Amino acid sequence: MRRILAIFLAVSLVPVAATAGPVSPSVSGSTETFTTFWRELDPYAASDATKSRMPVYQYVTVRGRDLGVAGLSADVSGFGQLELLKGFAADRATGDLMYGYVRYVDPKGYVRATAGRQFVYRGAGYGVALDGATVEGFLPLNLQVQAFGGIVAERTFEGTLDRPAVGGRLAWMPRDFGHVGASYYQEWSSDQIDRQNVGADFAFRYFKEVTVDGSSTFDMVGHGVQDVDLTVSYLPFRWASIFVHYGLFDPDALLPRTSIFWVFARELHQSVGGGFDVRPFQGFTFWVNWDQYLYGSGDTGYLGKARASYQLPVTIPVTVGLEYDRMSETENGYDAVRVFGTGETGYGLRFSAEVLAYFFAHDVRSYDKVITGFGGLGYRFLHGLVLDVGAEVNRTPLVSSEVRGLAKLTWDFSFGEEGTR
Amino acid sequence: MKLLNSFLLVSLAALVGCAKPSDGDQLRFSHKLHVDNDVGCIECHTDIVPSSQVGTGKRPGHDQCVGCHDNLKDNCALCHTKPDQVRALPRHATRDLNFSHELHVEAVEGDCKKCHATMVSSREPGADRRNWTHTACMECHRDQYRAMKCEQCHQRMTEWKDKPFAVFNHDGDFMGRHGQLARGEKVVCSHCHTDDKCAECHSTLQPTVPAERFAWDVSKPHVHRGDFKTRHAMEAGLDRMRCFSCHESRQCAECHQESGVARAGAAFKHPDGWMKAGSPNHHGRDARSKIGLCAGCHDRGEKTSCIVCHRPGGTGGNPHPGREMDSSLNRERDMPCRLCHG
Repeated sequence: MRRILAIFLAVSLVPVAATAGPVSPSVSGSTETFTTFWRELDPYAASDATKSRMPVYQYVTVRGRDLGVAGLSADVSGFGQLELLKGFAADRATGDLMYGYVRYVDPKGYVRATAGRQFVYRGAGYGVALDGATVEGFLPLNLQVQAFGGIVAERTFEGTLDRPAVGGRLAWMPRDFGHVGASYYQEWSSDQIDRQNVGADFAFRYFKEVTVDGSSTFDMVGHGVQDVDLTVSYLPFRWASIFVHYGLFDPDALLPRTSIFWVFARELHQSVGGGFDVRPFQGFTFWVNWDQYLYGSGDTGYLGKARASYQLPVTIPVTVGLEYDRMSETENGYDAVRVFGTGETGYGLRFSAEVLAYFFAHDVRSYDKVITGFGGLGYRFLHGLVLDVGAEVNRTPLVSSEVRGLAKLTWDFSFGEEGTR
Repeated sequence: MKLLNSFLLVSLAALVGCAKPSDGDQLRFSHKLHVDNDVGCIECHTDIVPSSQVGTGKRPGHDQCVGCHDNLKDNCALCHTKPDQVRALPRHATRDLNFSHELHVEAVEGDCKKCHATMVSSREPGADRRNWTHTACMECHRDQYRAMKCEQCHQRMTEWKDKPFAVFNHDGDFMGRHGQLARGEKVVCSHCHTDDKCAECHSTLQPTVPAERFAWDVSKPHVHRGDFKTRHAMEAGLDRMRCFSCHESRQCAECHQESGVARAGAAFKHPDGWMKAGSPNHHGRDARSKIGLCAGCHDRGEKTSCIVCHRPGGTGGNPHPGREMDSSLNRERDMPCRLCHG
């Protein structure tokens, strides 16, 4: 019921507001009709028999700006899903509103009010979809205040819905030198507190080239630090940047405090890493990133990534790239290589292709590697109307080999004066 | 060690000395001297007022100088440090800005010092360029900044590779770091992005992953690329809980149900020794470090299988990890205590 009400409110406001008032409204958005077909192991068959699947997805996004009143906007995005082939997930039709809100920003940008389904940050590193309202204001002395309240739109592990939540953040943003913020989040389930976090965050920028970002969340119920993040970024030149990072995370931070599971967890894990990227000449980018993980048990893991991409100096925009990843965790790991290329001709035709291979440290179902190839073509029929088709071939332990077909029709539309981003 | 440090310092100083732009011709010019002698800015910068774009107003040339200084005609060394190496001055970097001197001169009623405050005390030409940070513009334009009307000044906001601050730098492994940056800077992100950018990947309510929905965009670093299903346990094992930054918990159970790993006698099994105390594969070890993964399938409130053993009098022993439990909870009444102690 709440979902229907949210959709109704968000959608109905678009045409109502768009027809009123002296300002020039604009409405834009996109629709995506997307289907994919593949075969996979039938888990309920005695042998290695496979079954086919073919879900169809429909995404719709609508954005309205200056809807009758300057600064009044509405954003709605939702999806529907239909499983065409019976058997696996027979007769399955679902859909939901991903976000849908009405927002007002006063002409000078001092106050911003948002009502509807929206993302807010609740601490412990993650956002949450909230059906509710948020008010943000910029006060004198470079203070910024945010307050929100509503009902969490996502389920807990055990499927609980309808959890009220409130939160807010107060930040001081001295000029362009960064910010210092303090936040609070509280969520209830059946009249009992599910989460109660206080957080602190800051960013410091020095003469544009250096940024230090940090944040931490403290669990008021469990009396422990849930996460810490610290990143230092440095841009020595316009064509290069480097960063180092430290993170600490408590794995039970994601569990509501009404879940029995959070009493089992104990081990914080930490990560230390860094990386750099360079763009030494036009069109070329190279970056490297490495993170080392240390788990509470004393085990370690790591993830390293390197990527080079180059936009070829030819008349049509073509980008090619090469990636290498190396990962190790306590039980397995892999080396991965990926080669890709993508481009667009002047006749509305675009193309993309990639080949990637994962070489496992230890076999997975007797397979020491997985290889995937993908090729896709897209054609822009009219302004904003694009048809994409593609095929993916996998050599995988799950079905030995798999061919997957994809097709997507995208329509980007806009009415009125274009004022959206 | 001290010797090494000294050597490094001296080397650095030498390098800096070498890099100093002392080579070639330099202008001897003092803005301060001219201002002190009541020379108005526009007397030299004659065409700055009508210029409607930054960097398009010409710098004063010989004509302006000679207009007052007759003695300069035959004495180049008065202004040029190396008259035989005279070179064109570098152009100002425009950074694709919409900027009109014409409008600004009018707004400050001809008082150039309102923006060029340090120029009046400068003994060099062009010495206040370093002050041209965002901060200087914000003296008057904070309203536009707060209203996110960046495009009023910045011509190609969405095309910038090197954004004005390091926090805007989207190069390198930005996808891996963006969450941390966005936590306190959502307002900054919203200058260019609406919530749909977050929802494309982070909406736990949607049925597809970005690697599927945007498969054609092969230049993006999609997490789930290729046969992710085979390696998802490894990915979850590395960064424990990262999955839940995008996936709703019920998706574990639903997918495991569909793919058969959650049914009795299914191909998926916990390792040998999972329930045997002392075994290297004993489940307690994983439970302490990956509890969210356990909860994805097993969290069923009062029907949770774990508390069959882990309860007072049970065979599983005390699960409390030694942390201080919240004393405000009522053991008999509040969740989750009452599941075992009620």
